[in-house]
Amino acid sequence: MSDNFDSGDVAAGFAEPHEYTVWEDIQGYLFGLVLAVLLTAASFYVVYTHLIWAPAIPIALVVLAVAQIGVHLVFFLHLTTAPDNTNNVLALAFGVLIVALVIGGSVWIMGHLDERMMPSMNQMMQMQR
Amino acid sequence: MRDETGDPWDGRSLEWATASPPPAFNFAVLPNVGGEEPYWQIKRLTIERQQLAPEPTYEAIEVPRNSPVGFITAFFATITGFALIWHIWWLVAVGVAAAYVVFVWFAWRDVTEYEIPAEDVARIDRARRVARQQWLEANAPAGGPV
Amino acid sequence: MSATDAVGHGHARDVDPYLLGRGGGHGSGHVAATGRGAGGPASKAVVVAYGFWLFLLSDLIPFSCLFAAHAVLQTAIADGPAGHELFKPTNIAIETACLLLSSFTCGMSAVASGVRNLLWTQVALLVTGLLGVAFLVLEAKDFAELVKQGFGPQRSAFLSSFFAVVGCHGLHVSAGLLWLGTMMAQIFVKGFRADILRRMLCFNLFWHVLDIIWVALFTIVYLIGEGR
Repeated sequence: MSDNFDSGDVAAGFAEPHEYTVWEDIQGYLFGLVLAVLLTAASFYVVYTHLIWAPAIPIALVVLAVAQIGVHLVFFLHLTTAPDNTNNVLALAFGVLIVALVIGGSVWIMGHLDERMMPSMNQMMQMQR
Repeated sequence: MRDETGDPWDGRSLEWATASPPPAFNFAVLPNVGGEEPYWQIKRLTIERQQLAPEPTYEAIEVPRNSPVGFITAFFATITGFALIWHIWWLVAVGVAAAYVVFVWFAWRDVTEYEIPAEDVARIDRARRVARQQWLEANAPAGGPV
Repeated sequence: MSATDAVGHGHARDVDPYLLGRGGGHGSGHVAATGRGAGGPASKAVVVAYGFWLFLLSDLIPFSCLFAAHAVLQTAIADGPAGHELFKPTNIAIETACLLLSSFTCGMSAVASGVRNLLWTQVALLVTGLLGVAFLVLEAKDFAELVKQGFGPQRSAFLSSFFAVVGCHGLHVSAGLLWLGTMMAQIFVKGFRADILRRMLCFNLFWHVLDIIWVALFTIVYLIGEGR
């Protein structure tokens, strides 16, 4: 295998240095930073004010978080949809699948178990009050 | 009766195309793969033509240097784990610190690879080719296992 | 090496259409094959970065298990405090800002090392490290405060899972800071050698993924927990 920077594929975190000037590179990071700050501020704002209808707050937060993760992936990790990035995107998609299965699956299963289990003594006494 | 070719069961995929046990560099020259079951195709053609593919141009091959660091780090990781279970906090600190020192020592290496010269690659691969030639002669087209 | 084609073009290819052993794999061959790999293996930097990217994705799995545990144990507060009684939004906001800025400065160090500017690389890495330390100090203070009030990991299952998931992230940040210090020392002593640049790339990936996990963490643990 030869040294850094040649053939077709690109790895995550790469921005081919001879394709961008330094200033363009910095601009990319700056733009990502500004977007991330805005999304973070929006998350806090959503929780601590009444801008969003209360039952929808968790979904709003999840959407904002996903957006911010996307900003990180594109602007900081230089993950694009270009064909030389296909490997990285596929690996990420698989990772996301596993995470979704583990978290979603656990919550779903445990939720069902919770519903179907007999209440504990504590809970039964609380129900009587 | 011992198989010398590295391919005792007439395999179809590339892992059977190298000697067993394989040399440090695995393959003398990097194979080009154009489709499924490449080795099977090669063997069939070899038997049809009754000759091996011509000898390739051998080049020197870089391989990574060996290191005991993995083993040493695992030793300190075990100590750390044991100490965490029994709440021996000073031993946890010792284990983590020692693992970190070993990591820095490993990271500080200047030479991470060594080169196997082309002559050695050629010598080892030619021995394999001799075995393949003997296999070829033992498997004449009329009545070969293909 | 000429391009390989279908069987029948020349003596060598009659015997071996795939040219096994013909050494075409050094980026010079044009194999008539499917996939993107035509031309041989990728450069070392690409292979190392891709391998590290796969490792980081696998590191997501323990995090998702801990997240799942915390999500399931949201209500297991054992008559103790729930999320909204414990978390101080100011601290969390400052911690998030620290980590986000450190991600930015880490990117700056990548830009600087791209043009081989030793001073700015070290400055950017130093700022990244200091912001990471600030994050850890704030988090440690929060933890100590909680433990002092009797709300440590032994108090309830909810708190156990909280300390586990946030603590796991904190441990990753600590390990990252140790790595960062080592990288700074190596760049100082050995300069921008090819393998050190590859390690810088891996560190960048690591640090950015850590910030991504923090985004998920503060959203789910702090903000959604806040709403209960």
